[in-house]
Amino acid sequence: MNNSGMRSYMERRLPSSFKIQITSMVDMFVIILVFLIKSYSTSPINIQPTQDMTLPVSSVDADPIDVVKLMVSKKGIFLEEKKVIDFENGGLMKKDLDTNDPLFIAALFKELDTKAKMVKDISKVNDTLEFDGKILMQADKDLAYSILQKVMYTSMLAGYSDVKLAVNAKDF
Amino acid sequence: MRARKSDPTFDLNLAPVLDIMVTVIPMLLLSVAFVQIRMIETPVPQVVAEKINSQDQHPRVSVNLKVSKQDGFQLTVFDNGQRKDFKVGLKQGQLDFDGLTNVAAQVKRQYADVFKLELAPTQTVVFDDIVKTMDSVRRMPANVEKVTITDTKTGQKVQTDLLFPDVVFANVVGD
Repeated sequence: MNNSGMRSYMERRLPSSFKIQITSMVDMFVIILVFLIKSYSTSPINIQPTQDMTLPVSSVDADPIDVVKLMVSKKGIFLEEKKVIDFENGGLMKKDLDTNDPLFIAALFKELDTKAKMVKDISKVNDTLEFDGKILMQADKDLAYSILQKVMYTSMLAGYSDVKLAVNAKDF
Repeated sequence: MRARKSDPTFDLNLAPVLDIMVTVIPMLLLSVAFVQIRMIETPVPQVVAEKINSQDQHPRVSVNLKVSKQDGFQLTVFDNGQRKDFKVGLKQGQLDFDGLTNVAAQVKRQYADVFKLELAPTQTVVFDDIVKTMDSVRRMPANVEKVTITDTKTGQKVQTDLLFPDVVFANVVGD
């Protein structure tokens, strides 16, 4: 190939650098961003729905507060994600209930009482912290009141008499 | 004379926008909530809150609601020793929540100052039905006329669509 042929080839061929077309990618990111901003939550309570734990839906619009969290699923009772009681056939086992008081769950009381005492001890030296007896109960929607009654009764005896119920927002 | 031509179109540099997106999206992904949690504790207007407080101090009238999967709802009003019962039976074998709202609105018209309701579900009632019951007695339906209460401080009349937002479990310590 002579010089003029080489020159015409170099002029015809594509340039070595090129621009990536990112407009469509930015469009996609904008859609994702809008969706994520809509779903953005600053709530202190965030739970992932599972088979054993489906909250009932309510029209109430109060945001949950950051207090002691008690979870009652179909599998058992959890206090701040620590398992306290295992359920058998979707209910409490007889061994977990007090023989003299059938509403009293001894293991749950022990855990709640320890927590309450700890907060009370801290509040003695720290004025900003105060034991207010508030507890947020997240319970599965299919659980019978007989179980919830026992949980609330035991919480009340441990000093947590202000039981709040966590629910799913209706219009989300 | 040759006219100088200029290209009216240009390429917008989207690379910085993309950089921002790539930074912001992972941050939002970490805090995204696919389920929004709420808490049953209805905020009430100041006038209503005062009424609830005064009612706690002088419980002249109390409203009790029994929930049963077999018999439906039974709303009982104790007014200075007098007892009035209102029953809402089952509808196609299920609890009739709309019927309960209508009965609660009827009771509310007679006792506009009462905002507290003592809820007593039976052992077999599921949590979902308890929450639906609370929702049914919280507010009046949109097409029903609001009730008028009097502000104890200013003497002004205030309209509210709240029925019985202050719900307490009456049978936690047993029936």
